[in-house]
Amino acid sequence: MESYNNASLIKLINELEKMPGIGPKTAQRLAFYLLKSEKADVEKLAGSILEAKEKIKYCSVCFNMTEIDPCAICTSLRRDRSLICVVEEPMDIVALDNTGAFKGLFHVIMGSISPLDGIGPEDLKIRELLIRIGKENIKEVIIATNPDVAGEATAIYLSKLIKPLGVKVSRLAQGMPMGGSLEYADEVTLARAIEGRREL
Amino acid sequence: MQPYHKTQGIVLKTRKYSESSKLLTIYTRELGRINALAKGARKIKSRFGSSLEVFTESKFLFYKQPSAGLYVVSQAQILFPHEGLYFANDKFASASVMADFLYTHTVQAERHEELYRFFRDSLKELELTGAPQNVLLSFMLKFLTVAGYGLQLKACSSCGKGGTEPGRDCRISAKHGGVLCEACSRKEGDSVVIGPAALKALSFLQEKGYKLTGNLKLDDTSSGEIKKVIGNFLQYYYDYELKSMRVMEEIIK
Ligand SMILES: [Zn+2]
Ligand SMILES: [Zn+2]
Repeated sequence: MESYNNASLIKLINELEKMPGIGPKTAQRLAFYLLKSEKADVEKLAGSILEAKEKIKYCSVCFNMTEIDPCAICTSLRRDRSLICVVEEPMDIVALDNTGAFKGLFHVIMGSISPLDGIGPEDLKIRELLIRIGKENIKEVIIATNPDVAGEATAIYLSKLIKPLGVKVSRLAQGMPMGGSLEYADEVTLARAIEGRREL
Repeated sequence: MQPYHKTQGIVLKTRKYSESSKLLTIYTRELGRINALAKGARKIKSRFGSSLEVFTESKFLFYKQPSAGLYVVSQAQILFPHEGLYFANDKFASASVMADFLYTHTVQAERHEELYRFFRDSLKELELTGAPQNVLLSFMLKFLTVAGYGLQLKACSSCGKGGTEPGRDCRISAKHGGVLCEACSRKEGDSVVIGPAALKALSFLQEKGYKLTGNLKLDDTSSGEIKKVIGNFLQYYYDYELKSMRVMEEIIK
């Protein structure tokens, strides 16, 4: 690639290409956009990436991403503290919270049971969830793992552990087709799924 | 080479790929084990629906440019969803181990129709059975047989002459591929000791159809001994411990 005999440009394009959803064409376009931008703007972007990376941690209670530990959801006085919604990833909290249909607390288990990857229950934040249920005054747990095979298997595993604790366990309603990812559901679909949850 | 390939296949594993796509490993009837990209499959309203879920058998149309390394899923239509494997954790765990066998212990792009049919029938039986652990043990022994490492349980696998003494413990050696007679047992250090009940069950699980294996009552001692023998064979012939087996123990304990 003679048009690119420029090591730093290639390096930038390669780094951008590693990001989700960024193909080689987009990486190229972004790289040229950055090079055309004012130096101050580029510094602001680089600075904010570093700042976020340094300041944002996982909440020690619910494993949401947060600057302040515990996170704003965990310390909020306006939320229903008898309700926990269990999700796979911190991104799913954003999707569900944006619906406005759920006013309870969250718990991120950081993935789903995936035997071929060697990820079992002990690799997820399940023990932490059970401790929370035992300690806090929880009346219902809504399991909002992804509507795929691993998500279903994880939901069933969780319900078997939680039900004996005397807590109601429900699962997001149908209308969430198998195979999809929660983060891609639109707000209407998600809000309906919360309202129509079924007991497990 | 034609860019389009039509074949039945069973999804073994799915991973996220880029923002909204999935990278699948599929065991196909015509092409053996392949990797295929399904664009947009993670979207909630994906046109693939649930045809690309793990354990699902579908009819696939793949596109692959002769120069490209990866198949792209162009169409998929469900034949058998095997939903019964999602909703019981012991079946899900056992089906995962079966999928892991095909994922780990087969060569990429090597067509093997007998293995395909065997895998498909095994998933069907697992879905219906009331004894998933028996079906899984039977699957592992039958898989070894299809792969050419079936256990020799009658004549001594070392000298070919002696046999096992009825009603007594015997030794099974992975290196020789089966039981050892008294004389050979004394010479062979690396083997697993099993009781007469486990030996009988082992041969039953290896030879009989799945329907019958569901009726077999296995006590913990025999089941432990059988697992040890299978583990020993897998270690010897594949030298690789399946991650899914450890996770299964965690799930069903
Ligand atoms: Zn929190
Ligand atoms: Zn012998």
